[in-house]
Amino acid sequence: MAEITQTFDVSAPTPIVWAALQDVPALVPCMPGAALLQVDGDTYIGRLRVKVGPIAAEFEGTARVVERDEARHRARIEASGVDRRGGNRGSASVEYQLSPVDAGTRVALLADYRLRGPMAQFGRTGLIADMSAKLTREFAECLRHRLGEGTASEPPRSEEEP
Amino acid sequence: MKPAPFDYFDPSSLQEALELLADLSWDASLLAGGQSLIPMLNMRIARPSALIDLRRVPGLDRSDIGADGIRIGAMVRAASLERSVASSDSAPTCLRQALREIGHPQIRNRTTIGGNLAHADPASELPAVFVALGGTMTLVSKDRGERSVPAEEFFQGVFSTAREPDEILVEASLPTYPGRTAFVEVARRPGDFSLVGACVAAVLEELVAREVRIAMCGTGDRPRRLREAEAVIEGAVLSAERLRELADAVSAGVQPRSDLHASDEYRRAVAGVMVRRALERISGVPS
Repeated sequence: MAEITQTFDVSAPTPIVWAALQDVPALVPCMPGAALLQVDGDTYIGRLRVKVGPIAAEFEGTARVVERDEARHRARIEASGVDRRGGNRGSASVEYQLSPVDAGTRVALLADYRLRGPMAQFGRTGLIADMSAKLTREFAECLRHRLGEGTASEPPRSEEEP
Repeated sequence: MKPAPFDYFDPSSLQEALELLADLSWDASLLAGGQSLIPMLNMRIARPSALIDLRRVPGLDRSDIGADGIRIGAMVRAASLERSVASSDSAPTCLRQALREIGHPQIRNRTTIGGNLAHADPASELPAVFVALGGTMTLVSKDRGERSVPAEEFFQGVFSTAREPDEILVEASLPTYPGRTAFVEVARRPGDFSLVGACVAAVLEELVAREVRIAMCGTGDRPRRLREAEAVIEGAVLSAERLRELADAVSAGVQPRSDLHASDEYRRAVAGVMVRRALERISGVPS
C-alpha cells in the first residue's frame, strides 16, 4: 500500500480547473498507459498499462467518482483493476481538493494505491511507491500543461508500508 | 519455476532489433546477458510477451580505453571489461573495483555493461561509477536515430531510465578524470547485491582535495551525486577530523529506504563509512 500526496499550482481560475477535472475522458491522455473503453454515468471502464523495467502489468477495471462536492471543489475517485496475465490486483483511491491561490488554483492530490499479487511480493520495497509517485507526477505535469503552468510543483511525497 | 510463454527473436543487426522493438508489443523486453532478466522470468515476476535477444547484433561488444576516456559497447561482458581495465593505465580504479563487486565470476562472464546500466537496479555498482564520473549513455531508436544522455539524467528511479520503450542502449562512455578514484561497498555475503556502495573521486595535491565527486548506490531509488557532501572537502586539507565531518554530511544527505535486507538507519550510517573508506584508499588518511 502506498500513499502519495502531491500539491501543485495551475494558473487557471478554480472553476475552470474544476470543470476540467470533471471531464474524465479528456483527462485520460494525461495518464500514461491508460485507455478508456466505456463510460456509464460516473463509472469509467478502461485499462491501465504499467511497466517498470522488465515488469509489466495491464490492469483492466473500473473507476468511479464516489464523492463530488462542487461547493468545496473536492472529489474522490475509486478505481480497481485486475492484471489477469500476471495475477496482480490493484486499487486506488484518489482525492483532490482545489483552492484559489493568487490568480490561479492550488490542486492537492491525495492518492492511495494498493497492489496485490506477484508484483507486490517482489521484495524491493519502494518500487510500488516510486511507480505510483511517477504516475502521479506525470499526471500533475500534464494537467498543469493543459491548464496553464503556475509555480513549479514539488516532487510528490510518497510513503509505503512494508 | 519456468518462464511464462514468450516469443523469441534473434535479430542479426541493430536495424532489425530496432524494428522489432518498435513493432512488438509494449511488454516486449530486450535480452542482453540475461543475468537480471532471466531470473525474473523464471520467477514469473516479469512476463514479457516477447524477448529480443541482442547476442547476434554486431558492433556492440567493443570497448576502447584511451587517454581521452573509455567507450564501452553495450554488449561488452563485465568479465571482458575487467580484463581490459586491468591491463590499462588509463582506466579509473573505481571502475575496476566496481566491476569486481558485480555478483560472482560466473555472472560477470555473462552480464553486460549495457544490460546492467539499462536495468538500473538501485543497488547496482556501475550506475554509481557512471554518475560520479559524469558518464554518458548513447541510445538509438528506429525513428529518432541516436541521442546521448548524461548519466545523472539517465537513471530515473527503480528499474527506470531515460531509455524510451523503442530505444536500445548501444554504448556507455566515461570521460577522463584527472585524479584518483575508489569504489567501496558492503554486502552481507560476497557476491550479494550491495547494501550500500560509494564511488569517490578526488584530485589530490598533497592532502588538498579538489574536483571531488561522490556518488552512492543502495541509498535510494537511483545513484546520486552528493554535492553537499562533496563541498565539505572540496579545496580542504584531508584529515581524520575532516573525514568524520564528511561521513556525517553523507549520512545526512542520503534518503535510503528500509527493506528486507537492511534498515534505513543502517544504510544511512554505513553510507558515511563507505565514503570515508573510499577516501582513505585514495588519500591514505586513516578513517
